[in-house]
Amino acid sequence: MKRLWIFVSLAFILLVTAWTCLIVIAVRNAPETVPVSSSQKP
Amino acid sequence: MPLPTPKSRKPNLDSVTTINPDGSHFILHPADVHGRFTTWRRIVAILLIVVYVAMPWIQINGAPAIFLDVEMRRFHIFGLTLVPQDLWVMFFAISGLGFLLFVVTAVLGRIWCGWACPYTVFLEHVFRVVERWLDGDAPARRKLAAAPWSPRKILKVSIREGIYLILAALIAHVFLSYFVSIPRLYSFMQAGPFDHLTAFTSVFLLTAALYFCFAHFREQFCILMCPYGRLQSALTDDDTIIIGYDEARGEPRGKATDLTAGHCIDCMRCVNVCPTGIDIRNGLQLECIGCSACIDACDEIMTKLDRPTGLVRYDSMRGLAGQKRRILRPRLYAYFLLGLLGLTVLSLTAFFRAKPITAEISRMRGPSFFQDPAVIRNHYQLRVFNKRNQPMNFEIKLKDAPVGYEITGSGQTFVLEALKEIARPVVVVVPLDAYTGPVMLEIEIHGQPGNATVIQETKFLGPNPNAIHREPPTP
Ligand code: SF4
Ligand code: SF4
Repeated sequence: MKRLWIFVSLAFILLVTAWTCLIVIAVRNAPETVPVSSSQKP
Repeated sequence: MPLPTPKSRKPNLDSVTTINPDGSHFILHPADVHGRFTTWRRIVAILLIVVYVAMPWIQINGAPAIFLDVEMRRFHIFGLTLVPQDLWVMFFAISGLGFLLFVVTAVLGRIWCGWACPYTVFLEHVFRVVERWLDGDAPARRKLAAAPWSPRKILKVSIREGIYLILAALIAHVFLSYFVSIPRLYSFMQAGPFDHLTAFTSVFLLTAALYFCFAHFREQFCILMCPYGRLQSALTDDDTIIIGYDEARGEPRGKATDLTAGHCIDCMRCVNVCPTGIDIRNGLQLECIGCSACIDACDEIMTKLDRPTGLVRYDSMRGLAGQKRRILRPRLYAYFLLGLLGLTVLSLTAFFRAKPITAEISRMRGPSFFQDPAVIRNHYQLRVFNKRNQPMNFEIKLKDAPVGYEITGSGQTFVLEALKEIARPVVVVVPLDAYTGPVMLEIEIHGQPGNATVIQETKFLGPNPNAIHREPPTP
């Protein structure tokens, strides 16, 4: 049972790290923001 | 001054076809399409609708296959019953399924949107089918929409919108049956709306939202609102299988009789059938839900012209550019392993933890032990929760305890009704002469039927043994 908990805890750490890395990568590679110009003519 | 609403819009890369320059919705009337992908999508959709509707009816371990009982805070998922205390397991479930969906998306692009998303399934295979049946093909529907209001048009539109409302209400009830059991849902339906105001309001609001989305908002939901659509678009790369146009083969466009032109005859069939109104020949666009209608449309034209099919096809960007295709790539392995890890933990914990009962032992408030002339007592509180749909008999005993330790009182066996929880005292005693100091005890809680056992560890506390066993001072 103890081994199972060690495995679960390690899996948790690994998955949280993976999600964090993915979010950081996604935020760093966000597409450029295009400012909405209010004077833009249709 | 508001801009005039155009009669038709030519797809381009700088604007969304279905949004007019003044911001209003340009209503599309996609043309009919037939072909192998259309047939297979219809079969898959019918199967999925059967699954969506059947899930709350199928019983596994005494509960519906999927039943998110919010009222009782119990979540039944394919025979596994989770209570709020088990919800940490959901982190692993969501991670596992999430990463496996990443794999699917990285390999097959927005296959989910085009083939399996409930929104697409109901819109394309229920609402558009009804519309086609009542109002005719795309030119007939366009004509009806443009016609001035007349008694005939009012009647036609009322019948169509009435059927849409009924369908929206049916889907809303199916949705509710995932949260309220079928017998209860049936009793709700027989009672007045004010007897179950929360359920009635939820169904009413959901019906209104579904009606608005499926009857009027349609593709706008996928284009503007769906977060998963965006996420999938972010997960694709040049090796992902998407729906694309073979520019090298198709360009330059020209008449079928022009032998110097490419294979695309610019017939616009692929554009006319597209439910999001884009021209796939402009390349992959965010609006494309991967429905494969344009593949069938173009294949039909190519077959008529006796040219090879697949001018518009499932292929990767690399494949469409004539380069070597590559399915397996490092990111796939990473997503797959992470997904597998999540699902492994989910299965292991489901197997070991998510039992049909939960039981927890905690020390009662107050003194940590009581000492009588003959015994030492520890008082605990036992909380047992029967997650099953039937009553269970419980037995509490000490497991492999040192000599002399025992549970006293009458509460060592009891019956607990289905889906009920109780808290009861448990008293462990040991004769003074058998006590040698604090020890760890294992309390076993055994439930039948189902042979469920939970073992809880707790510490038995008492005074300093030297102080007890010392001879009383002689006067
Ligand atoms: S471009 Fe083709 S696959 Fe994409 S949404 Fe339009 S018809 Fe469907
Ligand atoms: S259906 Fe095929 S031939 Fe017709 S315009 Fe589209 S790509 Fe060209």
